Amino acid sequence: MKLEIKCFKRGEKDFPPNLYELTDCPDKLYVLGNEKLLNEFSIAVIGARKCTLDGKRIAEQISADLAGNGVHIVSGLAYGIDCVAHQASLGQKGNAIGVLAYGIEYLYQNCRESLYQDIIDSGGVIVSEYPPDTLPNKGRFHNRNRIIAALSSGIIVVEARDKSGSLITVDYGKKLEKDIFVVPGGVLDENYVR
Amino acid sequence: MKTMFGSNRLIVNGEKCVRNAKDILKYYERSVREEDAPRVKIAEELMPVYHCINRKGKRIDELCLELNMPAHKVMTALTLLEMQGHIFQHSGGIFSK
Repeated sequence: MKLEIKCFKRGEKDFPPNLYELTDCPDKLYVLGNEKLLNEFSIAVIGARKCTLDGKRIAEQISADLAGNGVHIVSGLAYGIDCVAHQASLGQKGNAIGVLAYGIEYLYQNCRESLYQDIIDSGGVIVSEYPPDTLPNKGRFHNRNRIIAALSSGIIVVEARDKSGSLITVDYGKKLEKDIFVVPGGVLDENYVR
Repeated sequence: MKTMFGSNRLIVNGEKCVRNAKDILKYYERSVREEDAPRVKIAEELMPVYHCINRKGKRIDELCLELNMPAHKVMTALTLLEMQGHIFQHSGGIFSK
Protein backbone atom coordinates (compact mmCIF):
# COMPACT_ATOMS: atom_id res chain seq x y z
CA MET A 1 0.00 0.00 0.00
CA LYS A 2 1.37 3.40 -0.96
CA LEU A 3 1.27 5.81 1.96
CA GLU A 4 0.07 9.34 1.26
CA ILE A 5 2.74 11.16 3.21
CA LYS A 6 2.57 14.94 3.02
CA CYS A 7 5.56 17.17 3.59
CA PHE A 8 4.98 20.59 5.15
CA LYS A 9 7.89 22.98 4.93
CA ARG A 10 8.62 25.69 7.45
CA GLY A 11 6.94 28.88 6.29
CA GLU A 12 4.16 27.11 4.41
CA LYS A 13 0.63 27.71 5.60
CA ASP A 14 0.05 24.08 6.62
CA PHE A 15 3.13 23.91 8.81
CA PRO A 16 1.93 23.56 12.45
CA PRO A 17 2.34 27.00 14.09
CA ASN A 18 3.20 25.46 17.50
CA LEU A 19 6.49 24.21 16.10
CA TYR A 20 7.70 27.78 15.53
CA GLU A 21 8.02 28.07 19.32
CA LEU A 22 11.01 25.76 19.11
CA THR A 23 14.40 27.42 18.86
CA ASP A 24 15.41 24.53 16.60
CA CYS A 25 12.18 24.33 14.64
CA PRO A 26 12.37 21.54 12.03
CA ASP A 27 12.60 22.58 8.40
CA LYS A 28 10.08 19.98 7.32
CA LEU A 29 7.37 17.91 8.90
CA TYR A 30 6.26 14.68 7.24
CA VAL A 31 2.61 13.99 7.95
CA LEU A 32 0.41 10.95 7.43
CA GLY A 33 -3.27 11.33 8.26
CA ASN A 34 -5.44 14.18 9.44
CA GLU A 35 -3.10 17.18 9.70
CA LYS A 36 -5.88 19.42 11.09
CA LEU A 37 -5.40 17.78 14.49
CA LEU A 38 -1.97 19.38 14.77
CA ASN A 39 -3.59 22.79 15.27
CA GLU A 40 -6.15 21.65 17.85
CA PHE A 41 -6.08 21.23 21.63
CA SER A 42 -4.06 18.21 22.60
CA ILE A 43 -2.28 16.77 25.60
CA ALA A 44 0.80 14.57 25.59
CA VAL A 45 0.79 11.42 27.71
CA ILE A 46 4.32 10.18 28.26
CA GLY A 47 6.13 7.75 30.53
CA ALA A 48 8.35 4.76 30.88
CA ARG A 49 8.65 1.99 28.31
CA LYS A 50 9.18 -0.54 31.08
CA CYS A 51 6.32 0.68 33.20
CA THR A 52 4.42 -0.97 36.03
CA LEU A 53 0.96 -2.49 35.71
CA ASP A 54 -0.41 0.39 37.78
CA GLY A 55 1.24 2.85 35.42
CA LYS A 56 -0.36 1.19 32.43
CA ARG A 57 -3.75 1.22 34.08
CA ILE A 58 -3.50 4.89 35.06
CA ALA A 59 -2.27 5.93 31.60
CA GLU A 60 -5.11 3.99 30.03
CA GLN A 61 -7.75 5.56 32.25
CA ILE A 62 -6.51 9.13 31.91
CA SER A 63 -6.05 8.87 28.14
CA ALA A 64 -9.44 7.27 27.63
CA ASP A 65 -11.19 9.90 29.74
CA LEU A 66 -9.39 12.78 28.02
CA ALA A 67 -10.13 11.32 24.59
CA GLY A 68 -13.75 10.81 25.63
CA ASN A 69 -13.87 14.53 26.40
CA GLY A 70 -12.54 15.47 22.98
CA VAL A 71 -8.88 15.96 23.83
CA HIS A 72 -6.37 14.64 21.29
CA ILE A 73 -3.65 12.46 22.79
CA VAL A 74 -0.06 13.05 21.69
CA SER A 75 2.60 10.46 22.32
CA GLY A 76 5.65 8.84 20.85
CA LEU A 77 4.37 5.44 19.66
CA ALA A 78 6.91 3.67 21.85
CA TYR A 79 6.34 0.66 24.07
CA GLY A 80 4.82 1.07 27.52
CA ILE A 81 2.95 4.23 28.47
CA ASP A 82 3.02 5.67 24.92
CA CYS A 83 1.33 2.63 23.38
CA VAL A 84 -1.24 2.38 26.16
CA ALA A 85 -2.13 6.07 25.83
CA HIS A 86 -2.68 5.81 22.08
CA GLN A 87 -4.66 2.58 22.33
CA ALA A 88 -6.88 3.97 25.08
CA SER A 89 -7.68 7.11 23.09
CA LEU A 90 -8.56 5.01 20.05
CA GLY A 91 -10.78 2.86 22.25
CA GLN A 92 -12.84 5.96 23.00
CA LYS A 93 -12.93 6.93 19.32
CA GLY A 94 -10.59 9.77 20.16
CA ASN A 95 -7.89 11.15 17.94
CA ALA A 96 -4.27 10.23 18.45
CA ILE A 97 -1.22 12.15 17.32
CA GLY A 98 1.85 9.94 17.03
CA VAL A 99 5.27 11.55 16.81
CA LEU A 100 7.98 9.32 15.39
CA ALA A 101 11.71 9.37 15.95
CA TYR A 102 12.25 7.83 12.52
CA GLY A 103 10.74 7.93 9.05
CA ILE A 104 7.04 7.17 8.65
CA GLU A 105 7.70 4.27 6.29
CA TYR A 106 10.09 2.67 8.69
CA LEU A 107 8.09 0.21 10.72
CA TYR A 108 10.46 -1.52 12.99
CA GLN A 109 8.10 -3.43 15.26
CA ASN A 110 4.98 -5.31 14.27
CA CYS A 111 2.91 -4.19 17.23
CA ARG A 112 3.55 -0.57 16.45
CA GLU A 113 2.79 -1.15 12.79
CA SER A 114 -0.68 -2.26 13.81
CA LEU A 115 -1.14 0.70 16.14
CA TYR A 116 0.17 3.03 13.44
CA GLN A 117 -2.52 1.81 11.04
CA ASP A 118 -5.23 2.00 13.71
CA ILE A 119 -4.34 5.64 14.38
CA ILE A 120 -4.61 6.54 10.69
CA ASP A 121 -7.80 4.53 10.17
CA SER A 122 -9.49 6.28 13.10
CA GLY A 123 -8.75 9.77 11.83
CA GLY A 124 -5.53 10.41 13.73
CA VAL A 125 -2.21 11.57 12.43
CA ILE A 126 1.42 10.42 12.48
CA VAL A 127 4.21 12.95 12.09
CA SER A 128 7.96 12.90 11.82
CA GLU A 129 10.58 15.49 11.06
CA TYR A 130 12.61 12.81 9.29
CA PRO A 131 12.27 11.64 5.67
CA PRO A 132 10.08 8.52 5.35
CA ASP A 133 12.89 5.96 5.11
CA THR A 134 14.97 7.30 8.02
CA LEU A 135 16.13 4.72 10.57
CA PRO A 136 15.84 5.36 14.31
CA ASN A 137 18.79 6.24 16.49
CA LYS A 138 19.21 7.59 20.01
CA GLY A 139 19.62 11.21 18.99
CA ARG A 140 16.45 11.13 16.94
CA PHE A 141 14.43 9.93 19.93
CA HIS A 142 15.82 12.87 21.89
CA ASN A 143 14.82 15.27 19.09
CA ARG A 144 11.42 13.67 18.75
CA ASN A 145 10.63 14.67 22.34
CA ARG A 146 10.78 18.38 21.52
CA ILE A 147 8.14 17.90 18.81
CA ILE A 148 5.87 16.13 21.31
CA ALA A 149 6.29 19.04 23.73
CA ALA A 150 5.67 21.68 21.07
CA LEU A 151 2.53 20.09 19.65
CA SER A 152 0.86 19.71 23.08
CA SER A 153 -0.82 22.23 25.35
CA GLY A 154 0.15 20.16 28.37
CA ILE A 155 2.25 17.13 29.20
CA ILE A 156 1.18 14.34 31.55
CA VAL A 157 3.96 12.21 33.00
CA VAL A 158 2.68 8.88 34.27
CA GLU A 159 5.92 7.16 35.20
CA ALA A 160 9.43 8.36 34.51
CA ARG A 161 12.82 7.13 35.53
CA ASP A 162 15.60 9.50 36.46
CA LYS A 163 17.34 10.85 33.35
CA SER A 164 14.70 9.30 31.11
CA GLY A 165 13.39 10.51 27.76
CA SER A 166 10.18 11.55 29.50
CA LEU A 167 12.10 14.06 31.59
CA ILE A 168 13.72 15.40 28.41
CA THR A 169 10.24 16.01 27.05
CA VAL A 170 9.34 17.76 30.33
CA ASP A 171 12.42 19.98 30.01
CA TYR A 172 11.37 20.97 26.51
CA GLY A 173 7.83 21.54 27.79
CA LYS A 174 9.05 23.85 30.54
CA LYS A 175 11.12 25.87 28.07
CA LEU A 176 8.01 26.25 25.93
CA GLU A 177 5.94 27.16 29.03
CA LYS A 178 3.65 24.17 28.64
CA ASP A 179 1.68 22.82 31.59
CA ILE A 180 3.32 19.83 33.22
CA PHE A 181 1.13 17.33 35.06
CA VAL A 182 2.54 14.42 37.01
CA VAL A 183 0.85 11.30 38.32
CA PRO A 184 2.49 10.45 41.66
CA GLY A 185 4.11 7.13 42.35
CA GLY A 186 3.55 5.09 45.48
CA VAL A 187 4.33 7.21 48.55
CA LEU A 188 4.86 4.13 50.69
CA ASP A 189 7.63 2.96 48.43
CA GLU A 190 11.08 3.52 49.92
CA ASN A 191 12.11 4.85 46.54
CA TYR A 192 9.43 7.56 46.55
CA VAL A 193 12.12 10.05 45.70
CA ARG A 194 15.84 9.55 45.57
CA MET B 1 10.28 1.32 41.81
CA LYS B 2 12.79 3.07 39.62
CA THR B 3 10.08 4.21 37.24
CA MET B 4 8.77 6.47 40.00
CA PHE B 5 12.02 8.35 40.69
CA GLY B 6 11.73 10.87 37.90
CA SER B 7 8.02 11.56 38.15
CA ASN B 8 8.01 11.93 41.93
CA ARG B 9 10.96 14.26 41.73
CA LEU B 10 8.97 16.48 39.35
CA ILE B 11 6.23 16.77 41.98
CA VAL B 12 8.76 17.55 44.70
CA ASN B 13 10.11 20.27 42.40
CA GLY B 14 6.69 21.85 42.14
CA GLU B 15 4.99 20.42 39.05
CA LYS B 16 1.24 19.86 39.15
CA CYS B 17 0.20 16.60 40.76
CA VAL B 18 -2.84 14.97 39.13
CA ARG B 19 -4.79 11.81 39.89
CA ASN B 20 -7.09 11.55 36.91
CA ALA B 21 -8.35 13.21 33.73
CA LYS B 22 -10.82 15.35 35.67
CA ASP B 23 -7.97 17.15 37.43
CA ILE B 24 -6.55 18.08 34.04
CA LEU B 25 -9.84 19.04 32.41
CA LYS B 26 -10.74 21.22 35.39
CA TYR B 27 -7.38 22.96 35.12
CA TYR B 28 -8.19 23.91 31.56
CA GLU B 29 -11.78 24.67 32.56
CA ARG B 30 -13.01 22.37 29.87
CA SER B 31 -16.41 20.79 30.35
CA VAL B 32 -16.14 17.53 32.19
CA ARG B 33 -18.68 14.85 31.51
CA GLU B 34 -20.59 13.76 34.56
CA GLU B 35 -19.39 10.24 33.99
CA ASP B 36 -16.06 9.15 32.65
CA ALA B 37 -15.91 7.96 29.09
CA PRO B 38 -18.17 4.96 28.68
CA ARG B 39 -16.58 1.59 28.30
CA VAL B 40 -17.91 -1.41 26.46
CA LYS B 41 -20.18 -3.24 28.86
CA ILE B 42 -18.89 -6.65 29.84
CA ALA B 43 -21.09 -9.45 28.50
CA GLU B 44 -22.70 -11.71 31.10
CA GLU B 45 -20.80 -14.81 29.96
CA LEU B 46 -17.44 -13.03 30.36
CA MET B 47 -18.15 -11.92 33.93
CA PRO B 48 -16.82 -15.02 35.75
CA VAL B 49 -13.45 -14.74 34.00
CA TYR B 50 -13.33 -10.96 34.52
CA HIS B 51 -14.07 -11.26 38.24
CA CYS B 52 -11.46 -13.99 38.63
CA ILE B 53 -8.69 -11.70 37.34
CA ASN B 54 -7.06 -9.33 39.80
CA ARG B 55 -4.64 -6.38 39.52
CA LYS B 56 -1.63 -8.54 40.27
CA GLY B 57 -2.33 -10.83 37.33
CA LYS B 58 -3.01 -14.52 36.83
CA ARG B 59 -1.91 -17.16 34.36
CA ILE B 60 -4.37 -18.99 32.12
CA ASP B 61 -3.86 -22.31 33.90
CA GLU B 62 -4.64 -20.67 37.24
CA LEU B 63 -7.84 -19.22 35.80
CA CYS B 64 -8.87 -22.60 34.35
CA LEU B 65 -8.39 -24.26 37.72
CA GLU B 66 -10.18 -21.58 39.72
CA LEU B 67 -13.10 -21.35 37.30
CA ASN B 68 -13.19 -25.07 36.49
CA MET B 69 -13.49 -24.12 32.83
CA PRO B 70 -11.79 -25.60 29.76
CA ALA B 71 -8.79 -23.66 28.46
CA HIS B 72 -10.37 -22.82 25.10
CA LYS B 73 -13.32 -21.09 26.78
CA VAL B 74 -11.06 -19.15 29.13
CA MET B 75 -8.86 -18.12 26.18
CA THR B 76 -11.87 -16.87 24.22
CA ALA B 77 -13.09 -14.83 27.19
CA LEU B 78 -9.62 -13.39 27.78
CA THR B 79 -9.28 -12.36 24.15
CA LEU B 80 -12.65 -10.59 24.17
CA LEU B 81 -11.95 -8.86 27.50
CA GLU B 82 -8.57 -7.68 26.27
CA MET B 83 -9.99 -6.39 22.99
CA GLN B 84 -12.60 -4.41 24.91
CA GLY B 85 -9.89 -2.88 27.07
CA HIS B 86 -10.99 -4.41 30.37
CA ILE B 87 -7.83 -6.41 31.00
CA PHE B 88 -4.18 -6.36 29.98
CA GLN B 89 -2.01 -9.22 28.76
CA HIS B 90 1.58 -9.35 29.94
CA SER B 91 4.56 -11.46 29.05
CA GLY B 92 4.42 -15.04 30.31
CA GLY B 93 0.72 -15.36 29.53
CA ILE B 94 -0.33 -13.31 32.56
CA PHE B 95 -3.56 -11.33 32.51
CA SER B 96 -4.41 -8.49 34.88
CA LYS B 97 -7.00 -5.75 35.34
